[in-house]
Amino acid sequence: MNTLVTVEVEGISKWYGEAQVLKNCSCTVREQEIVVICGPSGSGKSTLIKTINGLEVVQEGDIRIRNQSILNKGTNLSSLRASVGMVFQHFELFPHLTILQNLTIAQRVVLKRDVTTATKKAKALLEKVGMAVHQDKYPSQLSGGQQQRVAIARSLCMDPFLMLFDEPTSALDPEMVSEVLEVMRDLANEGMTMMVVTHEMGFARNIADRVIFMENGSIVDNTDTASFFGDKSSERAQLFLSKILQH
Amino acid sequence: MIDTDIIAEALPLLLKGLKVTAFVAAVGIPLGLLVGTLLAYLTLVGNTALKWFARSYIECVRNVPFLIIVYFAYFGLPKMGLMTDAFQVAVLTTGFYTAGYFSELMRAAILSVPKGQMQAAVSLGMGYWRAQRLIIFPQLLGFLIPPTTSLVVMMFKDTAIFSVITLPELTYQSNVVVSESFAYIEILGTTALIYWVSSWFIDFAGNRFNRYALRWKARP
Amino acid sequence: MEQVLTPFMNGVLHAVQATVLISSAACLLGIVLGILLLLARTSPVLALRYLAIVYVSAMRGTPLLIQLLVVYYAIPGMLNITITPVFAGVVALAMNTAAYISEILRGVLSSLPSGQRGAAFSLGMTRWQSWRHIILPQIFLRALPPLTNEFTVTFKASSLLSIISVSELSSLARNVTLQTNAPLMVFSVCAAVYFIMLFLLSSASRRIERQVQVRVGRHD
Ligand SMILES: Nc1ncnc2c1ncn2[C@@H]1O[C@H](COP(=O)(O)OP(=O)(O)OP(=O)(O)O)[C@@H](O)[C@H]1O
Ligand SMILES: [Mg+2]
Repeated sequence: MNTLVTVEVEGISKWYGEAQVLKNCSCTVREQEIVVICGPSGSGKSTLIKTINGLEVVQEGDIRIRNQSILNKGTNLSSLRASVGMVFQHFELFPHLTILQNLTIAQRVVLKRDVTTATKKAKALLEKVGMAVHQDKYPSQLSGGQQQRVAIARSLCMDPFLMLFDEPTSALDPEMVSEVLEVMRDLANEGMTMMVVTHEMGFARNIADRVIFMENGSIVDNTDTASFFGDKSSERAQLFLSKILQH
Repeated sequence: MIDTDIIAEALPLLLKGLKVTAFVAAVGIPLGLLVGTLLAYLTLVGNTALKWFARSYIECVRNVPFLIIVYFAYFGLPKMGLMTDAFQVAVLTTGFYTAGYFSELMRAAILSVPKGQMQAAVSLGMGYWRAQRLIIFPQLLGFLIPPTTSLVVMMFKDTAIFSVITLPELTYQSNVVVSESFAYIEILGTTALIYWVSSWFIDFAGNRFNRYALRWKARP
Repeated sequence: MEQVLTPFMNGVLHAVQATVLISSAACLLGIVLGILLLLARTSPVLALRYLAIVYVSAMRGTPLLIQLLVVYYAIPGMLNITITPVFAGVVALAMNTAAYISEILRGVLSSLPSGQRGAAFSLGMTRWQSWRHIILPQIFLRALPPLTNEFTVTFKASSLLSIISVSELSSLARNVTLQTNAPLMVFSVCAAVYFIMLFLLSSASRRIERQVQVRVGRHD
């Protein structure tokens, strides 16, 4: 197992006004590890994953990415974010730009790549996610599954060393889920470090190295996949699993 | 019944007034759009004092009639040793008033772009202002242009108020002709028609611009 | 300072009363006219529809000040009658606001989700029952915020009546400045009085809007 640590979350807490949505959460993710985060709705999964690239601020604790604290004022958040990819539940492609422009814009303005380089990179990644023929369309002309594959490619254009996914398949029609999961599986096989919030237990069981189970803002379980799906996980997690596996 | 000679005779003067009206609108309204954008960002990202300043400005515009602000500027400011010229008062009050209304439109438009768009841009490494410019701004035009067109028409029409501070704009010239000829129907009718056509033209231009700005929404 | 304000304070209650009465009368009349316009706009008779379209466009395309002059001078002159400034003012304000009100109602009517009526029918309601219990309450609720906003606009616009010598708040301020030569003070206080009244009205409007949003649901 790779022992280099990519993400270190240390005792973070977050409040929205009076309501505490993250309670003293800690976890680490090692290089090339695939970690799935699951738990009931409102348990704080999205909030946790968004704190990792600083989209949500925390009031307590520390987050280090490759040994660099993101809460440290001296850290350049923009360049850090550029090398941490994020995939959203609702894709968040930029609707006023074509697919190709969606993939090149950040390469050009953030990484300062020239048009030729950026376009070449974009085309290669569109090829990889099977979307090359659609490069001149606008996002609204694609199906949900296609949009999500483009969104993944958009993140990959930035050459990230870590990919964050927040329920990447939960806004998709069932028949499109597998095309997105396939892209994610390929990515995992290539050795990408990934944190994935998802309810797809099949994906978790087959791909994940570790599963984190959250409830009410706390991390309740943090174990290797086999133990989580065996009987070593908490009662709460067992109950959660039995509920979602019933369907 | 309608005396076309009177209209023909008055037309050059009315058109001269229209020029002044158009000039005040063409300088004052863009000034207001600029200041209004600034105010909108102050209410969004300013510190407490700046937010408070912007809110008071906006509430002042929303809750005080334009006429009173014009009177205040025209009769009051010279007492403080500031400008006396009707033209300056017209341009500045037009800008002042437009800014208050426009900042609310701008703010609503910025907030109407889904929050995830900002997050997506930021997580690709763009800074706040770059994301505003490249990602948020092009998308908010669709929310912004139609109400802004109405605002521009409203402010264009409101320039008629400057006739009371003797600015020689369209309504003022119309009043001059009426007081000489007493041809109320002909002159007021013609004046109204000139305003109407101008407003229609602004509307038309706004629609065109909107369609152009939203061309990415159309399916080719 | 007190000396300057005394004549203003002596008249202010009366003037506020006049402003409130004139604006309320104009709004009420405006709603009635606005509903009639909406009926004309949606009527099966083509001529009525066109009439409504042209009327709305004319009212929205020309300055209220010109409309006021037409109603006060031109029309009575043509008919050889005289009318009081107050009457002319209320009519002109009402005719103006009616155009905007009819557009607000039309917008609300067309934004009502068509599924609502289907849902009502599928529950076994008759046509009348679905209007009575489902459609009309929603139209009313959704129109309330933009209507109260339109009322504040009319309230502010009533200041223009001072130009045809209706005695209300703005004309009081104007007259007092002529007497006292203290425009800064007088117009500031006058602005404050407007501000308080309009702020109350618009806070009420905002509160209504918040409550309505809960009851009509939001859909993105
Ligand atoms: N902007 C906000 N203001 C106040 N409370 C918030 C805000 N955003 C999230 N919350 C609250 O924080 C808690 C955690 O939210 P979060 O979105 O992280 O949950 P989640 O586990 O991702 O749920 P889901 O499965 O529904 O996406 C919830 O109770 C939510 O109501
Ligand atoms: Mg979530």
